[in-house]
Amino acid sequence: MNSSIALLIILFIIVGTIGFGILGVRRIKMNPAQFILGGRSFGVVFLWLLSAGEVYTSFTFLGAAGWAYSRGAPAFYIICYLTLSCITIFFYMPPIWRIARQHGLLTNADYFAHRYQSRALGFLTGLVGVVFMIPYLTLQLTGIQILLQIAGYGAIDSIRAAGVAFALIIGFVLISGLRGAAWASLIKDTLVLAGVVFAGIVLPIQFFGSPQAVISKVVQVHPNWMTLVGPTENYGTLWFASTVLLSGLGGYSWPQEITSQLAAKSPDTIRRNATILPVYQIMLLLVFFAGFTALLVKPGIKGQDADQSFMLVVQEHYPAWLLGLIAGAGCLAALVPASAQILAAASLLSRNLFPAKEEQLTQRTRLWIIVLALLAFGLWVYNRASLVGLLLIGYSGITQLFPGVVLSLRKQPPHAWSVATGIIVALVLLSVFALQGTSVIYGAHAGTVALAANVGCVFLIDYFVGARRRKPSP
Amino acid sequence: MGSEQEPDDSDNDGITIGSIVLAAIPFFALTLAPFVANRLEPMIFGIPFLLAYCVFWVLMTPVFLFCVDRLRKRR
Repeated sequence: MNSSIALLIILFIIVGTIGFGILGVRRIKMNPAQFILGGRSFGVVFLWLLSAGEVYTSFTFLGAAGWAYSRGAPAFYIICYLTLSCITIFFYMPPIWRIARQHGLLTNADYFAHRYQSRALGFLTGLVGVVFMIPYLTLQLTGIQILLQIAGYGAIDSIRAAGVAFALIIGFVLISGLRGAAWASLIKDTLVLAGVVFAGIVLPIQFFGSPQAVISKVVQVHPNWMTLVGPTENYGTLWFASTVLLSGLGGYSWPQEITSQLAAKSPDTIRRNATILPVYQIMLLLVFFAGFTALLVKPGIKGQDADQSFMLVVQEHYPAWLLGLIAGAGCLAALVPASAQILAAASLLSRNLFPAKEEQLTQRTRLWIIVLALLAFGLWVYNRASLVGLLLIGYSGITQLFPGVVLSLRKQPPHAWSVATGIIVALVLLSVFALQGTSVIYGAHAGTVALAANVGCVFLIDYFVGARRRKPSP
Repeated sequence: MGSEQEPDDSDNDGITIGSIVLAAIPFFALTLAPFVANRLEPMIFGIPFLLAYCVFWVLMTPVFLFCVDRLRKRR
């Protein structure tokens, strides 16, 4: 009974959002620039919806609370790094937008290929984007599965249910493209905001009187929960600083994030969006409160299951309809970003890895969306455990594109070979770290070590290649 | 503001050393948070100091970026 109420509400929310998104694009004629970039016409409000929509995924909804529950202070990095991303894109995204519009570039790999005059570099960066996107997609699937499992009170096959939800959203993105995803973000953000206010304010007040009371209770029970440990330990101070830096710089290297910025109407829109987006981070504060409340109300959840913490509290102490509403918001937080992610990855495939003719581009992108969706779902069903580890590599991997993006804006950009070598060296290092199981080196996030090697490589190689290039031919 | 319709095509968007320094303040304040603010006390509105420090700089970032934008437009 309970499970059917909660699941029906979730179904209603997902289908309603999709309907709303399709309604938003019904008069739009689809060409590639419209399908992939929404026709480069998004104003501040739409861009804000889209970029906030893509940043606040099921990781934010469940993962940030899970980290507050299982780790404490290290979770605070999430609030910091997204702000760093906003500061950096304020400077480097407007010139990229201009170049992209002038030359009709649609993806970040298009940009690399054009700016460095190298199809090979476009291929490499496109490949990096697609490969590292797949674990991110599977993370969203795990988020949906957790929510449906809790909302189903254990009565349904949550893997199959997650498959149904995923199929619905894939159908949606096939029809509506990026503009539909932005419309869907409108409902998603409203519901997620309501869910987060409930979990971060109402839950603490009902159980302990106020969010502050939750914090002082947590400090009583776990005196070290609100501060970081020393610099050389895992999740210590140096880890925090290096992770904030790495994720902050790389936050907009994800294909779907670059796409969202290229969809802006003008450079001014990008700057305004970057200026106001940090305010949205305050939502995360409430997510932390929810995680801390769960830590006191339902202690003892171990490992990866901490992601379920505050949802389990809601399941235990609140009626099914409320659980359905919050789980529905969470499902949207996974599905809407997943739709934009899969669209961005598919356009890398149709533009850069296996280039299609202009008139076939929209159809070909749709085809790749289906292929990627099946691939991601298949990988997820067969191997869910190890993919979480892959995601950690994902962020380190995608950030390796950042030096090439920023250096491309110099008056004399480095040679394509230097950028490519930097990326490859960094990826090899990351693979070695991953095989050894190293995620922290001398207290710093392993990805920052690879990033430093990447930048070093670019300058070193460019010193030789660049010198030869500038030498007049005899 | 009419600039929304017609993107300015200036070479470097009016970005100066001064505006980069200005934007670098919240950037480094957040990156270096664990080294300068890794404390529980004093609590601010009942929020531990480290978290309150991060929230403060997150909220200050729009102010700084707004000033950078003003500087940029004046040129």
